[in-house]
Amino acid sequence: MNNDFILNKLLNIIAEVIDVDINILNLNTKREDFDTWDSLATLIIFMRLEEEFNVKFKEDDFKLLDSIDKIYKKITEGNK
Amino acid sequence: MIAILSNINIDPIKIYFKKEKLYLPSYNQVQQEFLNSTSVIYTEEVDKILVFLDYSAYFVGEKNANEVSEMIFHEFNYLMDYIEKYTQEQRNKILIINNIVIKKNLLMPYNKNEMFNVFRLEQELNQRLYNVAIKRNNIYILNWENIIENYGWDKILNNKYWYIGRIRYTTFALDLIYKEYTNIIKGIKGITKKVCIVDLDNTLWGGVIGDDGLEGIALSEEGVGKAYRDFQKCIKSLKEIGILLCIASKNNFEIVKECFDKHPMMILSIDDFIITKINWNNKSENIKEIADELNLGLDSFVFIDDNPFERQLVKDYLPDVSVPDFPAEPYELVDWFYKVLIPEYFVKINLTDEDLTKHNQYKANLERAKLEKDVTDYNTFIEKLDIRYNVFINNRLQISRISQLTQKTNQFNLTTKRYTELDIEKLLQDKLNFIYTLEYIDKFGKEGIVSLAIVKPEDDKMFIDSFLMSCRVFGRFLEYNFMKEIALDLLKKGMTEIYAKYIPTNKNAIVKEFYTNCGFTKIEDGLYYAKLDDVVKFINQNYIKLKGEIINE
Repeated sequence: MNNDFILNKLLNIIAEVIDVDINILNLNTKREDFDTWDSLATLIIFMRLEEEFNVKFKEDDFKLLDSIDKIYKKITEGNK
Repeated sequence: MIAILSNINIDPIKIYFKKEKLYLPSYNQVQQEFLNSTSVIYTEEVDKILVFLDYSAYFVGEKNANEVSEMIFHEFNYLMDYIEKYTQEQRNKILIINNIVIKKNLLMPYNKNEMFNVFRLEQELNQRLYNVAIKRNNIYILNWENIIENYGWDKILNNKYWYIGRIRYTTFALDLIYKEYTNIIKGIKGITKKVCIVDLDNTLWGGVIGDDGLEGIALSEEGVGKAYRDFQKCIKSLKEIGILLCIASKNNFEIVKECFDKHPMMILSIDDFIITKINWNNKSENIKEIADELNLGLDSFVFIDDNPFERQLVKDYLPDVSVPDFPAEPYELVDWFYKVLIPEYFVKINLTDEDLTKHNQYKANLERAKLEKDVTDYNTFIEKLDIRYNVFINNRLQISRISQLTQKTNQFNLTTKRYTELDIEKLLQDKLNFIYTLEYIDKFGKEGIVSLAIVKPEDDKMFIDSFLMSCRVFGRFLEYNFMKEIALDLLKKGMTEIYAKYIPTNKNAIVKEFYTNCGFTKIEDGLYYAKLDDVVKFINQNYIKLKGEIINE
């Protein structure tokens, strides 16, 4: 899987779960930018990412990975 | 608005319901919602309720499954009492509920008593569920058992997210639940494909009949031949649920006909197919011809062909036709039929009388069309058809058909008012409302109830509230004869004049002039008036008189 594909898929999942247009999301987007990105949304996003990619999140990650950039790095580092 | 009630956290399902307004209270509030008469589920706004129950998490670390079973049984029965009452009171609402599957966590997995207890619990819960559901025609069952059977708990349960956030199911499982839900809704609305067109070589049998001959094709009681034979049984069963079958195959007709007639293992006969296009033309052309002959839109068709090249051509030329991928190996055909073809295209929840006679009705239509072609003059055609009709007034036995006609008829429909069965029942309670229905019969067969009119008072005047006719029969002077019968009956009831409305939609332009063609005077846009005497006279002078009568109850 190349990284562009991963990023695109990641943005897709987040956009779908928090119900926003994918075009307003990028690596700099933070969780706090959207009201709809609450703790349940985080759970759903992480759950779908685990199903989609070869990645396992730890319970701490749910707090620590609070931006798209951090989530993306976590997924791609597992990819190396 | 749809309400989703569950005893487990099913929140992630909300991302599927973005187009619909959703009420999703926190989990484990199912009973409370039914108990609370001020809950949203008792308001007009909610028209659908999905109840999703999962008792699997109860069986963890239990030495005595008996006690847990008892508790679940009581909880469930209590809830079913409420559901029974709710669906009785709220008859315009649809309630969808899953059948119960218990994940069997057994401490002594080979202990017969433990096995039996859990098995019995599952059985008792579902027995209660089906007993209630069968009594109510607004309860529908989401077939959760079927999902678990097909895919297994391993793909359904999400252990990690269950512990982290009480999310029980994987995205995969949620997809399936949502799909089941949409299939049920499609079934309720009657949005289903009407025709299944099949290819022959390597689709209904193995090999190529033109090359391999009668003895050479694979169709038998063993090996791959049995896979094809079983698939033929499946295709034939579609006919039983009112799906029309057709053939589009590049072949020589005589050879194919001989194969159908003489092959000892053949399940389908050539007569099972309403239209066969066995020739060397493009399949997309053949499919278009079939659509024209049956007078059905291309979006009513599913095309089944093993050849990816043929499938792609049809997809490119006729994008409205549904073209599913064919299984890689014929051994998968039966499984594919039940897992893909049925749920994706042919969901039927209940069969109507119309479904059972569909094949014969379309056959009769094709014969009518042939007669029309053979006879040069239209009036001779009408004469040769030997049309007869019966008119019924306020016939309670026809309530479901009446409602169905108001829901489904779009073209020949003057006001396009939709009525539920309950609405019709209410209309019939008032003695001043009249519902006229018309049954059509001709030389080629019965078409059943194809037309109706609702006449009711409005501001001291009698109005034709609805007038509609199935597109299968209009244009045979039937609409005018029907109007005349209605006018005669209203005269008999002591009325002298009638008002009528036409409400234009983007589908009913065909009836724009209907009332003026019946001798009405236009008062203003969409509003018409006539003396009943004049309507009778006008119709008698201008249109062919058909044979018919009013059947009194």
